[in-house]
Amino acid sequence: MDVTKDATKKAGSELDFVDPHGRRQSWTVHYGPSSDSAGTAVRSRTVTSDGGRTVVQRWVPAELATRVPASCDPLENEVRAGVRLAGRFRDAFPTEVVRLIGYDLDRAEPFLLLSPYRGVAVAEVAGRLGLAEQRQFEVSLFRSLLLLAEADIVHAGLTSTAVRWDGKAVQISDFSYAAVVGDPRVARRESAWASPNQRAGTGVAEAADDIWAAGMVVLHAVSGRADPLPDLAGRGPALQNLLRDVFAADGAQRPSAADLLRRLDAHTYLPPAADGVQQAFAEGRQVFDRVLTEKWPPTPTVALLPAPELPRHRMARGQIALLVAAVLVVATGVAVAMALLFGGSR
Amino acid sequence: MTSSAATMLEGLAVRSVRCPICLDTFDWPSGDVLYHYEERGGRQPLAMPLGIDELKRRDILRTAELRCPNPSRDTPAHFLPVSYASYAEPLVVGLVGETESGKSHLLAAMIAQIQRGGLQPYGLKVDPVDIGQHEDYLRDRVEPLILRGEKIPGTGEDVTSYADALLITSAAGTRPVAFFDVAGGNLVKTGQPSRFLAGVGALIFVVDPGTALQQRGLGDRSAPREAVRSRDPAFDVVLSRLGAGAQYLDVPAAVVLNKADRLRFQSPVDFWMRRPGNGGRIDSRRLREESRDVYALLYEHNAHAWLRPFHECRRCTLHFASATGGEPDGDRYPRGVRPWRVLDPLVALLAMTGVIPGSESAAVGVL
Repeated sequence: MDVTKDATKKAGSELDFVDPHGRRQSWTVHYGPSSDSAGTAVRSRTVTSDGGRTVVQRWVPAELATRVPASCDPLENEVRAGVRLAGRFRDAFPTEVVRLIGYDLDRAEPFLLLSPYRGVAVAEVAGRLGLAEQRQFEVSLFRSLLLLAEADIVHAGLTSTAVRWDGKAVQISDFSYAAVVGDPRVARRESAWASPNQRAGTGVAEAADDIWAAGMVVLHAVSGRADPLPDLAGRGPALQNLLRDVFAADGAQRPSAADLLRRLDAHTYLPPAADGVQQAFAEGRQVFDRVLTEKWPPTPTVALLPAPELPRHRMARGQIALLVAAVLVVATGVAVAMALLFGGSR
Repeated sequence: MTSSAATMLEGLAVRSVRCPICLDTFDWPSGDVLYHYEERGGRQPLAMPLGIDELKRRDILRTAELRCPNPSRDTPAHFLPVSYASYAEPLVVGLVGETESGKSHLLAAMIAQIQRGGLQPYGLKVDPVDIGQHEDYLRDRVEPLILRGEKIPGTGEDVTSYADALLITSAAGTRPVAFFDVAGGNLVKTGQPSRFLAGVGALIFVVDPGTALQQRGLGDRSAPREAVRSRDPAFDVVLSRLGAGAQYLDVPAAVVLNKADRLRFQSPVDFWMRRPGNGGRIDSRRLREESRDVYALLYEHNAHAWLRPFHECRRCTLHFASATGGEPDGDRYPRGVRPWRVLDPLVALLAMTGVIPGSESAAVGVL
């Protein structure tokens, strides 16, 4: 028996990372077997800490991360969304979204840690949900979108694999394509779940992108058909009513997550935001505006503007000079005429 | 038989110019030997046959160089185009910051982006002032960082040094733009540092989030290991020497929160990092919004010392940028170097100084 090797295994490995709130963490961990994520460079495995906590690690092998930096983009997107969600919801983190535990993306083998997955991919239970469970699923799914929209996050990759279901609540996973509202869209031509704008990669990401994809997930969950079309024709009246305008070509015409929850008579409550730091930031913005106004008071500023404006002022000065000259000529003429007039009358 | 330099320069207008490299002032063109820079052959003396056709003479002179007289004799040999006197006054840009702020990486990344045509969408054509020195800069600074992912040495403390100079041509004409690396301390000395201060036309103040925000690694907001400093010596020396305090300085400035990759998951940096480019359009409103967010982030972290340029300079924009896109591991960047938003501060300065003309440029840094 190799005692040294066994001792190392028992002692575990050190894993240093930063949690979503920026605090350095150091765990002693044991790794589970790894698996590839279909279609991406990202690999997954379970990691168990000495304290008995099990999380999911997603990472890109060092050689690939160095050779193809873009292979780390999915991890970048996941961390960006995870930190944003953690900052918005803090201790009231919602069960409907997979939670970022920590990350280190600047090392040779970048990785992130996630809370364990719950339930199964919706694809596995599609077509087998009872009516009550179906409604519960829809409420939970649209609630998750309400939460993402609250943090200005667009998942941008919702499918019936990324959406998980444990019989009570969804868990939104795989934020590999996640964007912040206003990011330029990345073309997703291959995705049958994405809206036309997303597939084309035109315009900027908006919450309505996820509404379209969530509509597709609902159709799959209800019908069991793995390749649903964004079409409500032939569907029951309840589903037609629920998903009305969800597949509108223009995102602005689609209902919001809150609209969809109201159609289901579900609440749209959101936990209050932690505001201490945000207040200091907001104050900073106000100070900026005040200082700028002091520097550039709203009185005429044209004289201080640079060269491109100067020719206009020169022309204006020239016109003034002409005007003054004209007035002088007229005044002189009048004076001469008056002198002649009065001189003649004497 | 060939012509002497004096003969070849006959008929060219002579005027007093300031060299963007040594910052001396002298009459131009003047000199004994004309040179021509060949891509692989280096700099060769130029021979022009006697009685050469006037059009051919003009064409040869268009690309010919003369050695700068550098009357102060304090700068290594450098060369200027014969046609230098026909350009506008040089714009001297100083990059100000402490040794570890990443100034050298930021400038190398900027020059790399310019080499790749990053200013073309703004209608700007860019050529080097001294081709030889520019190629040295590309070889010694840009290529190791950008192509090989190697850390490049910074400037020493208390040093003001010339880095590179470019001829930037817009609809408004051609303007030499020279970049100097300013670590601050030695500006009280005479010679080139004082000439730099007398002629500086724009400033880029570089903020290190490690010092200003106590953020030493990606996402790391653990308890600070040292007290937050209340001043930046490099910023203070430059602003004081320029006479800040009594009234606003009319030197356009850009404050760059560098190494912003460390903050890329932190609001509002996570928002700005993926904003699409403007396609060569100056957008003063967007510049103001980004400036406001940079200001607010530094304010939130009590990093008031690094906001001083905004309070002292009448026209000042603030920017998030990263010269490398990630952290080094020893002397290398294991995931390569991916500069991010490095040209935006320079574009703002070019707008504020009129190098990029137009009414929108006139609004940059103004309410």
